[in-house]
Amino acid sequence: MNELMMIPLIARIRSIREVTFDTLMFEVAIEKDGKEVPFSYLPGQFAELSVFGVGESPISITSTCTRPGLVEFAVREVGLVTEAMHNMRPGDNMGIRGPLGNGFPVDEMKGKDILFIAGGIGLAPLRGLINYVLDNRSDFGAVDIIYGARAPNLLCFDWEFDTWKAAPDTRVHLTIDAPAAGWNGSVGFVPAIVKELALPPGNRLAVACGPPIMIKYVLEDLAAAGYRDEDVITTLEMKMKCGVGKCGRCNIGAKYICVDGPVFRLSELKTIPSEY
Amino acid sequence: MTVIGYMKRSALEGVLGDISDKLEVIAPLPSGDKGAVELRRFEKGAQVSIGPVKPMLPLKTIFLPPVEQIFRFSKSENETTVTASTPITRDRVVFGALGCDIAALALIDEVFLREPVDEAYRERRTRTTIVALACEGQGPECFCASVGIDPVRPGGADVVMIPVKDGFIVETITKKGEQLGTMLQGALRDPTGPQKKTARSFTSTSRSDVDLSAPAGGWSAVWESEAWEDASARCIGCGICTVVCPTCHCFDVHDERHGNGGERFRKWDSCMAVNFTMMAHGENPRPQHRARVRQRYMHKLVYFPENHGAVACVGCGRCAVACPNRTGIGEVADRMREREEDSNE
Repeated sequence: MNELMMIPLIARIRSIREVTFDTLMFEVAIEKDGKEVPFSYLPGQFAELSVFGVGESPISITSTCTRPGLVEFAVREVGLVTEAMHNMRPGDNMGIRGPLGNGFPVDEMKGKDILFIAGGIGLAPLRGLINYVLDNRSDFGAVDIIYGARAPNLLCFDWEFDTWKAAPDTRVHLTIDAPAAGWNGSVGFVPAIVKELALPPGNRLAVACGPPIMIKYVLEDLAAAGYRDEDVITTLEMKMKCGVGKCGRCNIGAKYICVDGPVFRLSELKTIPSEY
Repeated sequence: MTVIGYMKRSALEGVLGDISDKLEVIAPLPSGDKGAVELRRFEKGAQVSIGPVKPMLPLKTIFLPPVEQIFRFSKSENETTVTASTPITRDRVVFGALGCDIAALALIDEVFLREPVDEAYRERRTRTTIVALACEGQGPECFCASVGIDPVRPGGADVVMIPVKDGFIVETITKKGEQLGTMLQGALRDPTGPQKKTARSFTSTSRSDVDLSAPAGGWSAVWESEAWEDASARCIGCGICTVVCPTCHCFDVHDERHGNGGERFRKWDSCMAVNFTMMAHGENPRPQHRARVRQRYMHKLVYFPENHGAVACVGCGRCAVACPNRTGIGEVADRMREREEDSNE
């Protein structure tokens, strides 16, 4: 955490990679007083990225701490700040505060089989965790990744899929919403694939992130399949502003998404109103 | 608590003037010509409005200013230099603070002094000495005694001034208060027996019968209460209750560009505003007026107590006075419980 929590460090853009037509991935080095400094974080944490003079947005960290070096953020263009980020070039700088939030409970996940379920840009926070798990492969059980998007060209991080498929005891199940030319994979919404695969709970944790409607159905389906609420994990990543539990915007019930989350077990979510 | 002397009312401005050579002095001063009072910097020659009128805006304004610069930045080529703003430049003393407002700071401390600590807020807190004015109750809206606040010798005060005939009995409470006490020495006399007696028996008329308790069962017990429907039907959504509330502390953050540089600032925000929870992609998890009204009361009466063990209300009554339809939090809490009992029948 920065000495003065509202004061950002500099995130120097080293490279920019196109993820989809509206999403770019920024690889940044963190600088303090003109010198590069280390940035240690956990999978599932986020940072407040800012374009000086435009504003600040909470963005999930999509790289993994098992691969030290540059930090990666996938940014979808949805508003003023993210639009300004999309106009940036390598060498430009952003402000950064972080890492913020709790991150995934990686120690408690050890020894478990893991079912990752993601839709669209929702893969961004899970990508860091997937790569963390695969970099510590022997600490975890079977890995299944269900990932869907509206169309093939909207699947994020497609350069990862072959590596993930090649990892031991790891399967990747891709799906798109409607048939498309040249697509040989599954067709159907993510919840339908979850049902179809019907992976039993057993020693398995489910980690889900995606649009609210996807999450709604996925959570129902997992409950119906016998998953216990404490074995279902999601990341809310919404409504945040200050990122440090002060400004009040992300308050839901007695929780603040930015400091008590963004990662929550379903058992915790059931203790707060469903204003998410 | 130590009685350090009696100060004549007529000596107050002179004392504040002397202290203002060493410290920044903040005091209740007239605002406009309609009898309103506001807490702001005292300059030599000013008349202090210490007494029966509650400042329009609470004490939080001098710890969490309505608009506050966080940092400035300047750009050249590919470099950006960020310079943190200085929250205050001098140690400060606030004179005439009321018990309700002082108690509210302890609640805001729970949020702004927890990790990660808000450094600007902490600096203002640690560099400010608080001189309370023992409060006899400032109007029918006052109910601090209902929420466990002592309006005469409020916790959190460093010094207390208790009104007696033509002046005050001055008591020091903390070490910081003792230091300030030494600056008051020149204006103090030994108190007479009757003065001491008046100070000892000083009481407040604050109501102690307002019940802000939530029913057992936490938020879910009152989530669907018709109290929210009723309260939101009459609420015009202006948010003045959040502006005048001594415990409301939500804010928004903005950037502004000036030429090759600019600044980031934060400003008070309100859970009553429709944009408060609006996200960049247009989704809003709290789109209904009813849900926003519920959030405000639930946060004060249910969520904050769950996290910090106390309701986020200090009984100043400013919300009911400022509200266009005079809705007070006690009334809403009553209805919340009534409705709950109704629906259990």
